[in-house]
Amino acid sequence: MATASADINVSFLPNQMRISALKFHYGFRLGMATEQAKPATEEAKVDLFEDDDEFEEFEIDQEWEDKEEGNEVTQQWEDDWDDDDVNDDFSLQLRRELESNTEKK
Amino acid sequence: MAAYISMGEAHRRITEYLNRFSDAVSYQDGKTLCRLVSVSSDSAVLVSLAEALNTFQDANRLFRQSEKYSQYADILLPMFRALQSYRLRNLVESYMAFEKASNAFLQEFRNWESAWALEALYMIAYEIRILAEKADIELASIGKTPEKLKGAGSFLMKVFGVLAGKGPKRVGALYVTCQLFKVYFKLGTVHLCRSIIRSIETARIFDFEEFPVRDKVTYMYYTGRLEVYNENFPAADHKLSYALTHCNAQKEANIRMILKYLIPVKLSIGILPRQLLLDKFNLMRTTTISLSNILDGDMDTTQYMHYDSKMIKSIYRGTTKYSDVVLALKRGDLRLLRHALQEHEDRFLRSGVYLVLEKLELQVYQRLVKKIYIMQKQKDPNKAHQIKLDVIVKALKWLEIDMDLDEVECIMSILIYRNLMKGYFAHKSKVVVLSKQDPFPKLNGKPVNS
Repeated sequence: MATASADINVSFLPNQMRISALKFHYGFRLGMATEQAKPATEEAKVDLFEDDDEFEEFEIDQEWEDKEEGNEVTQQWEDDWDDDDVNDDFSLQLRRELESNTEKK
Repeated sequence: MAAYISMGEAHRRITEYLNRFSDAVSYQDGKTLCRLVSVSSDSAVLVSLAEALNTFQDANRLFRQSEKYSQYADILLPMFRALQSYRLRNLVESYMAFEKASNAFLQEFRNWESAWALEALYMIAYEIRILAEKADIELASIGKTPEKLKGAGSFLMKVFGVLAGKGPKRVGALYVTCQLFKVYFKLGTVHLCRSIIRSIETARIFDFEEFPVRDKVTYMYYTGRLEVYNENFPAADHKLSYALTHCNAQKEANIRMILKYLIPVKLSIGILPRQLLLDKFNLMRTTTISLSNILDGDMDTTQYMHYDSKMIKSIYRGTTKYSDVVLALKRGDLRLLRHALQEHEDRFLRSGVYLVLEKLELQVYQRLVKKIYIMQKQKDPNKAHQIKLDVIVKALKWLEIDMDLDEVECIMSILIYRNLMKGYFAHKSKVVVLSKQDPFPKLNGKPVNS
């Protein structure tokens, strides 16, 4: 792991997004690369003690039935959503927009 | 508040604890031993022991009296101090004493041949992390450098070393690994995870599937998050999906956390969550459950309210905010995507999924151009594969995104380069000429070419 290159392509983003993305990206990479990333600001210092997404502890003697089949949450993904249907509201509005503009020409 | 107890009663309680401890070791009763070392729990046995220790100052004497007890003095004397300090809320002192006790315990554990005491060792590994976190908060509050959690990390590495060899104790290595992950994620030193992961994943002596499911799920959650940071999406998908499949369905907060990372990863490889998944853990539902639990009673409400607000926070940071992103992808609605990213920018940046989500922009462009293509096809199939750039400019303008022809041309070249669109570009006539076969290749579970 941690073999990803240190560069990202943000060229297609608008300026303001590009800056925040780069700031974050390189900030994070630097944090990963240095043994002791010393917090530069007050805010970073607070961050040292935060992981918003700390996994809740399972009880030490907790066991549960581990079943792969029939597990509801695993079947809730779709990869065939990218259909040819253009009758949703958004598409209808888009069509109207494009057609009205063509007529004006 | 410590209740007043007589010297005799104090003596009795301490001796009783000592007997329980030494019996647990003699009979190799890991479950009991586990309960006896859980310093930060509010178990009745430990609370009453702490009261007794306050009254009976010279616990040393009891150890000297009998060899049955004295062999455990290295573990239990500091353990008593840790417990006493903890009840008096001297958290730094408590941590330091507990670390001493833990080192002595690990020494004993090393000598025990079988793995009977694993549960007790788990408890020690958990306690040392929790106590260190509390000690660090205390240190920070008086302006000193918080360093105990780092110390706990070093101790846990020692524990890992004891477990990670051959033999029956190896099954415990993953629990300690997960505690270490929690330490490193909190300290922001996730690069330290690398060597442990290597040791877990390259060890051929032990099959990963033989670890307890509880630890496998936690391990896959954390390594999955690391893969997200490394932008290795297929690996992140594999790990987080594993965690989702095997996670205890009762632990909704954990499932929500897994989804928080898994949804962006799935989106980046062209797979959408169904509405049901987005709804499943939404705010309304969880609030209802929490309220009914409070009304049911037997729970310390103030404590629960804290949990509840934490929970609501985690839901806000959880799945609900992905609905717009998903909708944007389905529609090809660039404005909606940008809006959703901007609205939750802080949280997305904090959790590290911002970069993953922002890359979806190319997929949204693809969807938009595809829609224009389909509309043209319905009107005149013969001309459908030629898309004029100014049509795209118009569509974007309608979405309140100002781009000139050059910029749109640039985006189209990126789409072609990344294999999200097949065709070529007629620069002079400002037209994209799409391939007649499969002009918009699907990702089919693979990341966008880079």
